Amino acid sequence: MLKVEGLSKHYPEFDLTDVSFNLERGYILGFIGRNGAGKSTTIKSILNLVTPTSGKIEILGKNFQENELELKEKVGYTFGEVNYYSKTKIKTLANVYKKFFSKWDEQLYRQYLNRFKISENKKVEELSSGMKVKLGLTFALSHGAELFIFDEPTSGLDPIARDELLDLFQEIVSDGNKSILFSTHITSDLDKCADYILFIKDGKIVANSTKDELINSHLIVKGSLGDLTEQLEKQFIGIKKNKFGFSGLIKKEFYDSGLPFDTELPNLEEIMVYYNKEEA
Amino acid sequence: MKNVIYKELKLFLSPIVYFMLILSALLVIPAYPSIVGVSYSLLSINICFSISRANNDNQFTAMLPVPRNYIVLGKHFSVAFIEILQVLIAIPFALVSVFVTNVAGNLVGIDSNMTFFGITLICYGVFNLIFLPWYFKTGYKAGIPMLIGVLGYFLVYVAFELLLNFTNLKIYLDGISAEFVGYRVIVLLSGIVFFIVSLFVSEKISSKNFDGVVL
Repeated sequence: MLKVEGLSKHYPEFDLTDVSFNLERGYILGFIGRNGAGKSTTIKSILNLVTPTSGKIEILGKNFQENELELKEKVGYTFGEVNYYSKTKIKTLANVYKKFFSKWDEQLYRQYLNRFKISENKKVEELSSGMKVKLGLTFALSHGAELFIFDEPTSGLDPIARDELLDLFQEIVSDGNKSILFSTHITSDLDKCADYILFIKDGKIVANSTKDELINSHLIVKGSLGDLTEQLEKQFIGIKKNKFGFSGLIKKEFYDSGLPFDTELPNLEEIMVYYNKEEA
Repeated sequence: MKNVIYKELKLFLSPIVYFMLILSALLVIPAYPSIVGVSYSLLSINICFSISRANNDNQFTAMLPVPRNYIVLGKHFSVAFIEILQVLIAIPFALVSVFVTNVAGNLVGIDSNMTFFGITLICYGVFNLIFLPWYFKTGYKAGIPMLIGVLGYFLVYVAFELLLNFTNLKIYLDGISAEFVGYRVIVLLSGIVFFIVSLFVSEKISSKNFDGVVL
């Protein structure tokens, strides 16, 4: 469905380096990383909103740059909340938007408006932040897209709305024909619905696997500082120390289960936090 | 591309553009510089680009299934649309000026004849060549490109006025005498050609400039 190979983008102060991954039909790929790690740059490079320095993008088996016009109809994407034409009525905006899509589904569009309780007669600026996110999703979901790319779709939503949205994501992929790539730094969203995790740090992919593989291949180790050897400390991806002891993230393969420490499986948030403590 | 044009007409072009067109009527004022009326198109363009920045217009277009250069083409369409409409609306007022209100000739510059429209189109072309490629270096900063573009527009116009007044070209190009109509037609056609070429050249440079812009 989506194949990214060797995607790079050079900026004077930031480099996106050699990003590669696949997303198959029927799955949700969660794209995580701290703010400024390169999530939006990756997504914008995929969609040619940023011209990549190098790399190859294939969507539905076709080269994206060579078939941009055709493929953009098959991709539904949003970048957070709708922040354009805020003083324009949603109806006016929708009337322009829908003209661009040959497979615009008016009935589905109305269904999403009702589901999200959005009135078309309102101006964009009259919507709350969360409703603006939902408006963007309504547009993206109503033109027969097969691949959905959402950049921070859950930011600004209250917990109930976020939960509803994650249910919707699972509903979308349930027919096995559609896929979702969504970036977030709210890792609990991914705990609930992601099948695969792509983890980016400082413009480089540090993990690309199923969610379960990622979690099961790491351990959180806790113990007293007195028992921590220099050799073991070097094996940690990230470590936190205080006067009561230490806790750190380690790859399971590097951990000797005979050691006198408490261990547990990490959650996605802990993985993200400890990876970003690597150089601390 | 027709959808991008529809989007430009519905969202980018502010209703104030259509009000500004009426100001082409300033041509009928006796002893008044002809260039003033048709220059309101530049104000319209400035207003539209300012509003579009507030509306994140380019970001909206980028959300649509169109290649990047359609954003550039759309804006070239809009600018040309405003300029051409301003000139077309000016034509009946120009006729009133030369046959009714300025029969003895315009005392403060060229008459609103074919030469005037040719020069106006050349000035628009110069403005387009400065403003649009410069604007597309960022896709949102319109202020300085607009200022320099307008300066270029008026400098070219003043240069033409000086050329007419300090050479004997005035005999051939000013007024509405039937004897020298061929010369005036040549200037008009030159203006039309320059205007069209300026749009093509500007589009090529603008697209290249816009390639590196982050949307």
